[in-house]
Amino acid sequence: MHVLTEARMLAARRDTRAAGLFFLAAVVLGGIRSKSGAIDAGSSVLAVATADDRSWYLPVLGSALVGSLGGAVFYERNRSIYAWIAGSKKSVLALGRVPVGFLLGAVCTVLYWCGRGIAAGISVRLSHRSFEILNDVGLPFRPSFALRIALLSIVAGGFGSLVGAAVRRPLVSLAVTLSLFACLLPLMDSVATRFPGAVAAQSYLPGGTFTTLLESNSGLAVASGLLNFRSGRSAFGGAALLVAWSVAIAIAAVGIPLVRYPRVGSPRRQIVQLAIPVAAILTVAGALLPNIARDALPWYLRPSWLHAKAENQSSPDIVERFVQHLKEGSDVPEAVVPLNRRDPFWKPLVVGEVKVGRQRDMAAPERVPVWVTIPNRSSDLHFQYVFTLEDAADKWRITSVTGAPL
Amino acid sequence: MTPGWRIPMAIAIIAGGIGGIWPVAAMGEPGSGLLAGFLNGVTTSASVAFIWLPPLVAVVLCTQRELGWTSVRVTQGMAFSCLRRRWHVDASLLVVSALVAAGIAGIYGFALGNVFSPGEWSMGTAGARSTTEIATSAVQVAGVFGLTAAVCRLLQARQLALAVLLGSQLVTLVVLAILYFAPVLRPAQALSPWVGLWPLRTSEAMSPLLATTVSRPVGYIITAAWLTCFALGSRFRPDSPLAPGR
Repeated sequence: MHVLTEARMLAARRDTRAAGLFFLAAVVLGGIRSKSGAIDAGSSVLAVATADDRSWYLPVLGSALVGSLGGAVFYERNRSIYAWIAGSKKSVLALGRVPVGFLLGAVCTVLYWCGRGIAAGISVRLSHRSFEILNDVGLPFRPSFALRIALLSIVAGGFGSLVGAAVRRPLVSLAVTLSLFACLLPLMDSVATRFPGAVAAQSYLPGGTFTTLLESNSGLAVASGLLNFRSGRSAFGGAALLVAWSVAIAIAAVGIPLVRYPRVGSPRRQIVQLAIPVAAILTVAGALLPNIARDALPWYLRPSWLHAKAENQSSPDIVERFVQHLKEGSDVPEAVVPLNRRDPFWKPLVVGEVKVGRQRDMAAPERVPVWVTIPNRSSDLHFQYVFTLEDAADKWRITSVTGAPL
Repeated sequence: MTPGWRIPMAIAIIAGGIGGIWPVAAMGEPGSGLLAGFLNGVTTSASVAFIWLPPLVAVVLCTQRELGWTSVRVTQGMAFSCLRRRWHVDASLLVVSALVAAGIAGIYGFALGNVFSPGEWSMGTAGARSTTEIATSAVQVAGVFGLTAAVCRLLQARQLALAVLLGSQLVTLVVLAILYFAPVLRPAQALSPWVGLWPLRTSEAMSPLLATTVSRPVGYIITAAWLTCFALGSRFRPDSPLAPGR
């Protein structure tokens, strides 16, 4: 079927129209602001519309989702089977979804920029500045990056349509596409902060290849800072990975039979059919997971730290014992150098109420914060100390202490 | 078995297998026991029950009505209330089966962990999760099951119920991601039925990101309140053995 005809049919669907309106509303609402650096620096609609507000992932993600919907809808009500019976090849049917996906990606990009323009106009109005449209003073607009976003949105639409052609059920294909492109969501910033290994893992997903292509510092223009994922891979590597994903999904789209005969086996057979791939996945995980996990785990989940905690030999435990010995006036074996107890620096620790920071207060295992409060009639006195330790021969020792009143 | 159960079951079992691998292989425990592998598999799978349990339970609670089997049974003389009770029993047994399968996968994971990272292994509970963690995960499973059953009974449509359940989880995740930067959103946590079952809390986790500031007892009260609302809502909704019209 002609690409434009197919796209018009998709646009006529209620769910597609609703999705398009929702997308436009999201871009407009997300882009409206009355106070920001963009409004203050330059009041033109063009300047505000092209400011970097980290929403530039939206057209790529939206294009992928709309493309996957377009690809799956073709297979939804047996149109594919009718076309196949009429003589079309399965490969033509599957790969024929890609141009439709490109077109949908282009439409999504146009919708996005229209939304940015509307939001910018409203923002300039709300800021009560003079309403200029085309003055580009004050803000760095990078046409190369905007062009990259547009091109990659179109590519994402084509890729999404391949996913839809492989999955062939609209809702499921949307879910699969969202999971493949989830790393484009700003939510991933929070996930990556908690699990640093997520940055490397996401670079292998299709969405990660798009961030590599957008953010890579080699081959194409300098990265914009859209997302904080700095993959070590070059743009060429990202493109190669994207091509590999596209080939794999195209093979699945062409290879999966159009007509599936339901085979409901006995419960035992179904369990065996499920157990075999699960056992294979677990075997691969058992072989690969230890090495990946040991390097990717944050310091507070490393085995050495957990052992030290279990045996009360972690750095906060050492600092607690140090403070206790200081208060009691006994020897302080935890320190690397001998202690001068007469130094007024230590007096707050001796006389005050001490709170030693715990694991969640520490940015690194070798720095332990300690807060001291000395009750006073008029107002309490507050001090903060920071103990620096070194891990020598699996034993923490205090090397330096800094302190200051708060 | 009706279609739609394989993927959630696979997720539950894989989670259990990784729970068995994790102590020795990733956390560097000197060794773990066979029984510990089973317990760790069950506990890990139960900890992620909010991912696999709703689709699995929704298959049992909603599919028979959608496929028209319920109408046939009602015309044959079975009371609809009996059918509904039976669905809940079947769903509970399916969840228990999934957890047992996860425990068996945990034993497989224990074996894999000791093969790829040889350590001291035994038959007992060395390296198992703490009793508190096991109890918390049991409460997690019960809570997720209750929420899923209540929403399925209220909406009586599988896809809509899953969209509500999984969509509310996604919204909760988004709110908690923003919460650290926008503390004004703290009261919004009470609007999520998942806040009592959320695995990350600021009082226990290392990082405040994606963690809820609501304490566990208050979270349980909020989740119970939501459960009660769903249950009361389903009481007022007329129940029908017929599939909802398209």
